[in-house]
Amino acid sequence: MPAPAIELRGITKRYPGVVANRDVNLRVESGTAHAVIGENGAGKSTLMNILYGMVVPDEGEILVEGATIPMSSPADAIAAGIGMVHQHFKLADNLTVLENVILGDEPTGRVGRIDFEAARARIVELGDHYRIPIEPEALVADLSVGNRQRVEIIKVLYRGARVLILDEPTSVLVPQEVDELLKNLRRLTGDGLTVIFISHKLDEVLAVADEITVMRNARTVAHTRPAEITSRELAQLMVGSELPTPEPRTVEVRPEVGLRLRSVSTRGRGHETSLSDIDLTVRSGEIVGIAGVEGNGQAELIETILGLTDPVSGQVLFGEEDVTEAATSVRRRLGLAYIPQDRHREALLLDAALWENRILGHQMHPPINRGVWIDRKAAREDTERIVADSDVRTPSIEVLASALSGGNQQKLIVGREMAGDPRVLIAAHPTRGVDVGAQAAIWTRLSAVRRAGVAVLLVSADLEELIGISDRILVILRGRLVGEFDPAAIGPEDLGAAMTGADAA
Amino acid sequence: MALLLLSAVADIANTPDLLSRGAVSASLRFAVPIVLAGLGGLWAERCGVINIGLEGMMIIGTWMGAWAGFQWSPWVGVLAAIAGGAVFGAFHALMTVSFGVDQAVSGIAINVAALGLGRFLSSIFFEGQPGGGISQSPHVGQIANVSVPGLAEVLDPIAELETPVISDLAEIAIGMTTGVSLLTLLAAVLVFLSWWVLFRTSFGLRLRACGENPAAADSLGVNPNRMRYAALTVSGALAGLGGAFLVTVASSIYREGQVAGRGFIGLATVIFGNWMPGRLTIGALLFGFTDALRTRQETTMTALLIVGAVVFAFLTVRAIRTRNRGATFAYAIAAVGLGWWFLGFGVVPSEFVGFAPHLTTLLVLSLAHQRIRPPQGIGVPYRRSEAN
Repeated sequence: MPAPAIELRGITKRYPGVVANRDVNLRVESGTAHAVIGENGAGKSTLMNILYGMVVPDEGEILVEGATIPMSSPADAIAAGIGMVHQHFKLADNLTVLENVILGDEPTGRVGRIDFEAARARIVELGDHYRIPIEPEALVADLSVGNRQRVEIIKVLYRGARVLILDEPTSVLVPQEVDELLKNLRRLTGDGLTVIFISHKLDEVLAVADEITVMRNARTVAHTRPAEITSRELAQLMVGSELPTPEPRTVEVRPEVGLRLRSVSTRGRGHETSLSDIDLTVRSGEIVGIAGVEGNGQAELIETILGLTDPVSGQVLFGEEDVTEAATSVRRRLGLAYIPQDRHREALLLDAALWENRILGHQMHPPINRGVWIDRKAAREDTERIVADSDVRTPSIEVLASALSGGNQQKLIVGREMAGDPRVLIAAHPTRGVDVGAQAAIWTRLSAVRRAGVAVLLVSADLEELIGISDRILVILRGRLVGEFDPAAIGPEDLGAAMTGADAA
Repeated sequence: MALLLLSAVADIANTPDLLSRGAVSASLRFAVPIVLAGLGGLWAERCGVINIGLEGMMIIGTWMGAWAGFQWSPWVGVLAAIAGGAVFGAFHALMTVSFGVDQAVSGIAINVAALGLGRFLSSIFFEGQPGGGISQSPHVGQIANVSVPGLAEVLDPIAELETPVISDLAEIAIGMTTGVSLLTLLAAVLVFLSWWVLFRTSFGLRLRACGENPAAADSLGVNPNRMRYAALTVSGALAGLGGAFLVTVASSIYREGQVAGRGFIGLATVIFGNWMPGRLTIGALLFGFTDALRTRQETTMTALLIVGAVVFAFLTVRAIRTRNRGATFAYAIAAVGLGWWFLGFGVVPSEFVGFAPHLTTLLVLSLAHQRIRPPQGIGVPYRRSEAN
């Protein structure tokens, strides 16, 4: 049996107050796709950063093809044939694809002049060989997310990597791009390269991985193969306990309307999609799911309800109240809550303490607001309440939001938006990029919110999530609502077909 | 096209000085320090650091240039100015990169410190010297001028024909090739060299990558902090050279307040030039041109009223096409206003004339801002731990 491509033995990494990796062992055979799965905070990213030389372990050794390699910087890893595709792409948007690929390893002629011709030829050749076509002269800023990921993969291959580490490669991709990526990964392993990837999405792991290593609480707890395990068993290995299931719908939908849109149309500017003639009713105590391929008007729909985009015609109503002309602050006062899709950009101040983040959006509402002042004491107390109620795992409410894992950040956001008893909740991709534990917690929370009589509009790309917790599912396509489905009677395949308009043909 | 416009305007407004050889060579002289400051800003910002300290580094350049220049020779002065600027550039890097001081704060501190340092050092080194004092240096020799031999003789008859455009072209050619300082030539070389290094070499690519996304560069084995030290040292050296130009070419003395905001105008040309050396130079020439006109003949400024009116008329048409109602309205008012001013008064108050270069800067910046694309990592300090 040949030596494994990568072997990690007894890796331990301690940070002040926390052990990120404890005696971790990982063995990756050459030419295989190896998945590393685990909850956020289980230590997967630290492990991958150790393997890529960005973090130096306190104990343990790294063997590449049987030989111990000292790893103290990414340069060492690159020299050992290890390359990494980061979750948040490390690309310079204003540089071309070519410049991004060759950066740090430029073919140069006299006095440091870059040999652009040689670089271009090599990139095109790599693209042809692995059938990952990219356009060397394109500006990265103009590329789609999927194409950026291709650039990252080419970048790694360009450096002669034999082992590719991909950190949650599918979390940013739309379904078609995921298929393309998985196909590419199989092609790479078929060519003798080794792929290590981190994922949350168990179905993808089972579909593409040859072997699976599960991490929990900074340790490697299991090693298995897709044929030997189901996704439910995998999930239980990850969280270490029985999983909660989305609870069945037990509460009757109330007759009163929480949110209503009457033939709303908008005019899209630039790349935006125009909404045309949207009629939508969400009753109190009802979750209405919006399904659709990204970019078909979901963002515009949300902005219209929030009051960030003015419709050219139609009405937006909260209950019986016409808020079409109302400012966003007025709508929030009337009981509008919003869980944005991008936590970091829209929902949090990463460099502010948790209790300061609690104030956002509630600066004009009790208990935070007291006359012209912010009641800091009340803000702190209410943050403590949210942290306790929503099981936000944090050492204190004084830590910065950036110190929390994605799942815990999201739990804090959901808790904040639920404060002040809203009537209408817009949840955009509420469980995107969070681990299964937090996902279950957020689902439970949404169900509780529904029970309390809130009208919930759930926009999601996760079809399982839509089918699992929605009362009704509406499909949006090119700015129109094109179909309504009963989640109990539809499977992901049918929904997927409706989203692309394939069923109408 | 710009030339046609200016040529026509010179005829209409009867201000032949607008495109005379004297005006051209004065424009060059005024533009070079701004070009050098702009290049300094470009190097720093392409690597992700805003160098507000350019003004201060130019002041250091003027002082060092005068100090070394009056004792030894102007060329030694130039070298000393470059060295002084480079040291302050590296200091800016030490502050912003190693100590994590806010880039604006460090830059402003350098500007303030340079002003005080100039005066303090002058009191030690210049006071008591012949012609020297607390606010000025003794006489400094000048850098030699060169001309393209024979060209002026060939072009002179053409220039005297007073045929529109062709004669103007001849005047411009004479202005650009006669009595040009060696430092001006050096500046021209540096514009090209900056472009070549930044956009054609691996060093330049790495430097720009650190200005766009330092974490990306770091993950590929390029150390962003080291690149920023290098970029800021070059930035300071260029600003210092700009200062040396002021004492050895534009004048022959160090005087307090001599830099007079050229560092800041240089920074503005970086934005105007969309972070490209060539376009930055065009911007600097524009400011140099208005600056030169101001000092030569006040009536010439009135000609610029027409230029302004035409430019705004053009912008109005463009705004109508893009259906931007607010912009159409504003541009139209400006165009009509300037035209009416020229026809009605034909004079620009002298207070306004002195302010013209700065106003031009302001106008150009506010009009250019819509299309600019700054480096993405600009102004953001890079710390490795935060990148993971």
